[in-house]
Amino acid sequence: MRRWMGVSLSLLPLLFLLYGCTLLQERPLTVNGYWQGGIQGGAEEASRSVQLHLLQNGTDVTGWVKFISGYSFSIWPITSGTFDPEARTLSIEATNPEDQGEVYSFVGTVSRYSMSGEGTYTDGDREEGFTWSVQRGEGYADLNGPWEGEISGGDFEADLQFDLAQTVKRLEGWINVKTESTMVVLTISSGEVDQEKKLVTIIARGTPSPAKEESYTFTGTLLLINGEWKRMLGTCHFSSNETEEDLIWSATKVSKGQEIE
Amino acid sequence: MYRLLAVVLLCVAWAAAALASGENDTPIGASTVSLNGIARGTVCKEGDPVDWWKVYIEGPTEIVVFLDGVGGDNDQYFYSHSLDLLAQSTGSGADEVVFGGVSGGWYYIKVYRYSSGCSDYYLGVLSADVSGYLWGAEDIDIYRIYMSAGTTYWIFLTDHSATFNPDLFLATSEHVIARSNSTGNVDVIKYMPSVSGYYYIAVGSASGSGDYWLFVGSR
Repeated sequence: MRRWMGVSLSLLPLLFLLYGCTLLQERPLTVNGYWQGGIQGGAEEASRSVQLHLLQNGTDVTGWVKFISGYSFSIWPITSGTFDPEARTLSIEATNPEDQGEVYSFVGTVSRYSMSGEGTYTDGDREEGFTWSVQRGEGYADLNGPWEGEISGGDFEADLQFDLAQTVKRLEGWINVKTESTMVVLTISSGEVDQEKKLVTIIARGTPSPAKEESYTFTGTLLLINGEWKRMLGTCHFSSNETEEDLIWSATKVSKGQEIE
Repeated sequence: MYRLLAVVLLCVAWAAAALASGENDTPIGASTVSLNGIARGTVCKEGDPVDWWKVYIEGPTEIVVFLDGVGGDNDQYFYSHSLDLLAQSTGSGADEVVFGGVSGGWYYIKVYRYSSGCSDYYLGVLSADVSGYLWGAEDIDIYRIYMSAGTTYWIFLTDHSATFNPDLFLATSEHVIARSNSTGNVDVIKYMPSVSGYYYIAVGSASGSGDYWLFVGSR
């Protein structure tokens, strides 16, 4: 019995070596997930933000590309995509869903947390080249808590405070619209975050005076900051008994320490 | 007479149930907690994830705002009267605390149920009972306090220094009952004595020297 114990003990370093080697084996490289960065040069604008949501199945890649410019954005489905894990190369094409002649092609090299390369844009008639780079972001957008930002349009300009409570995709809470002279607290009557497309839609209502009712419909996209979904921006349709207006807005997630500032 | 009492009790129960089901879901409907008071509430991920509270503080003082919850993950946020975030405590447990100096006026507190299920909680806003200074690692200050059997006491010790690390002790005249030696800027002891009488709170420096504030709340 003691001899067997001795043999077993002598095998321990070997087992450790084998197990350790298994542990040290690198996880296979995939492109699955959310990526965000920019493209430089090319069509119309010198630089614009780009988000990718990639779904890899073997060497096939599907998903979408979101182009963000100012406060507007558009999502183009990936119509063809391949990833070669050996060569670490990615090649995708995204087509404008409203104009099948407009196509962005991206070709680049992939590392675990970033990708970069070159691409072309065509609208059917002309073709332009650009360079691109993106960094990996987290999969789940946690919008819980306070956000601060701005809303504006025409002569109107105000500070925004969101305070969100999120249950997976449902958003509740309130929104504070503060100008130099007024503060209107809106209650969120309906709010949703699209976790797949990383979009938000919030309808909020308030009554700044007994005779006046206001409604704000916020639609926007989430943006990654240092890998986390901590910024959102978009457009807002405002309506009251007296007027209707289209506004732009943005907000950034606020974080504080335990010590009161 | 009994019928009147029953109606009154029914109204009280209804009001309590209404509050628990989400009457204080926004800052406008915030419930009031008094300074040095400890209130009770319940948050549920489904249906009532948020409770808002407000507290009036007469003038400049040091405070702790604590959440003593049961199970899962609760978060706590502390806001100015204009709803600017001043501090947050969003750890992975059900208990949270923020602390520091305030200038006075109305302040808002949000309690948020982060994880699934429900959590009953106590929410307390305490102003400092005493402040002191410890002159290095050998220094210790001792305070005597009368504690009643069956009452729950929350004792907090705070500081604002990165180099000063005071520890908190609760003792009888014979032995130490509880201690807190957190390396952060907050120490806490929660204790319910089984015997009424005088107890001793000791504040000692584990390292460094500096100002500290001591808070005692009970319910």
